[in-house]
Amino acid sequence: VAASESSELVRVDDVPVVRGVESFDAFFRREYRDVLGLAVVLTRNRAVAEELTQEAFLATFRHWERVAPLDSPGAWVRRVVSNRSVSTFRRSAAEARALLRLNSYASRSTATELGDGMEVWREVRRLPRRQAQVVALTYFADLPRREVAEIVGCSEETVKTHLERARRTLAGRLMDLGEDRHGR
Amino acid sequence: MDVDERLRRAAHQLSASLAGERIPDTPRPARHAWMSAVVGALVTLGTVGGAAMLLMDGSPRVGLESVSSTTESSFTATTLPPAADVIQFVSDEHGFEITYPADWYRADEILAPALTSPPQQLEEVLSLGTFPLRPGGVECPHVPVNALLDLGSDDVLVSIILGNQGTGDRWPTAFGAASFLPTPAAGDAPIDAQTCSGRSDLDYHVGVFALDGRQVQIFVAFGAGVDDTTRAQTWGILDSFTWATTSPTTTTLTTTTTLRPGADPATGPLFGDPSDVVLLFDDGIDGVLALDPDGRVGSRSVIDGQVAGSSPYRMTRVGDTLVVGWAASTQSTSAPGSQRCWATPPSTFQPRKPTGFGWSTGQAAA
Repeated sequence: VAASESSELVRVDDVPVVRGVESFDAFFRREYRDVLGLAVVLTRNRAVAEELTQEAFLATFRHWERVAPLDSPGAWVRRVVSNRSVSTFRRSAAEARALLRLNSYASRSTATELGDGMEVWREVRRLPRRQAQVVALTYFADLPRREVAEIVGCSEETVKTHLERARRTLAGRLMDLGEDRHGR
Repeated sequence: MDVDERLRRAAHQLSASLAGERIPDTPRPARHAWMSAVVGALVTLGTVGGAAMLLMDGSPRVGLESVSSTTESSFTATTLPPAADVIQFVSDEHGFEITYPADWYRADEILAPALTSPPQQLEEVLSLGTFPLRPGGVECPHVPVNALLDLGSDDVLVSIILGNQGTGDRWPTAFGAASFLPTPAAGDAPIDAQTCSGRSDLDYHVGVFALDGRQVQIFVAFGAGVDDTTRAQTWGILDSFTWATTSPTTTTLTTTTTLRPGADPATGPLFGDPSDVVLLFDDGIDGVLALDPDGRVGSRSVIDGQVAGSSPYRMTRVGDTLVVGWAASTQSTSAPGSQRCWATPPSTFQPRKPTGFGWSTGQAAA
């Protein structure tokens, strides 16, 4: 990590520097929607996801000098939003802020926008949090196992295990949901 | 439709729904902007919980709300406004009084819910500012990061931290910039404050003082444009600090403990005899919880980006201090070039040592 720098957000020495530095604005514009999507998947609602996304990018902005040269700054911001999404304390704070913000304008319904998809993500959120992170990063963020492992902070083999267990659990739950809907 | 396909379809739906999403302005740290007002209001409403600190008796430590009362005062210090425009703040819980201008803001929560030093039981007991005080911060829970980020050029932030040890510099007869030791080249609280908040433009004053057998730590940050009147007002606030004439209230537990029949359940070491142990728990996700059974204090610190599989926390005992973190821990005196490395890897949360030296963090060494 920038070994003597104690910002524990990322281990710089784990990520080789291989490319030039992009402006934060360009990075933000390119990544915002995908990171927001990841937060939506891992949280209960859109407003909270927006708060967490803003927080994650703000953290990125503050560390941009060190994050920008990384091989994958996108992985860094996904790691922050992924961790904050499963942190009860962080989510509570974001929910409180979102609640206040929503008082000032009409709430948008993510559920209606996503249709059946929301049902699937709701079941994903019921998984153990590490499994939920792995599923969200694999399916929504569409990241290869190596990057998922880097973001979650475990081995690729562990990611594979989490994914297999999550799929098994989801298969049962989603099948139950389907049967319920058809009048079981 | 199998699980893979449903997940991919759900991902596609979500991506499609976000395709038309308006991208907001690039985030920037708030400076007296709407965010300050919003969060200030939240603080007032008490909706953002101060979940970081818990008392060992199980009572949630939600900030400074246990302070009993604020009353008008006949305080007559020349550097403060007339009596009608000041508030006398009396803390029954911590047993002190202080007077501040009525147009200043008092934090409803601890601004820096840090893991400090369990043996010293350091505790932020009061924070005042000329602007709405936002607790916490993105990182560095031992520094009032959000408040520093919101501090404008003509603003002031004052934090008072009490410790149970009686060591420190002599309490000044009248506060001023000269009351504080010069900032060491590295490894001192202002360095952490600068590094964590990115506010190297502020004028920091940090001191550790002994007053009647107790330790009082003072943290002051001035904006670059603070005028002499406001500075004098700030020193006047600190001059008004006194121990309250009434005894601090004590907490009486109605429950009993089976740990040690006969031991007072409300005070003293939890297990009767001092254990000289601090328990540290890594939750494996994003934080660390420290419990001091002797001092009956606990503190949880959230570590941004820390996940299971990341570099493990390292614990180093240096003297009576438990140092927690990742990289090198360096002791630095106020004399230039006197750094001495104590442990590797570095610490993230270190208590400032009294009188002339402090623990430097990796940030400070960077």
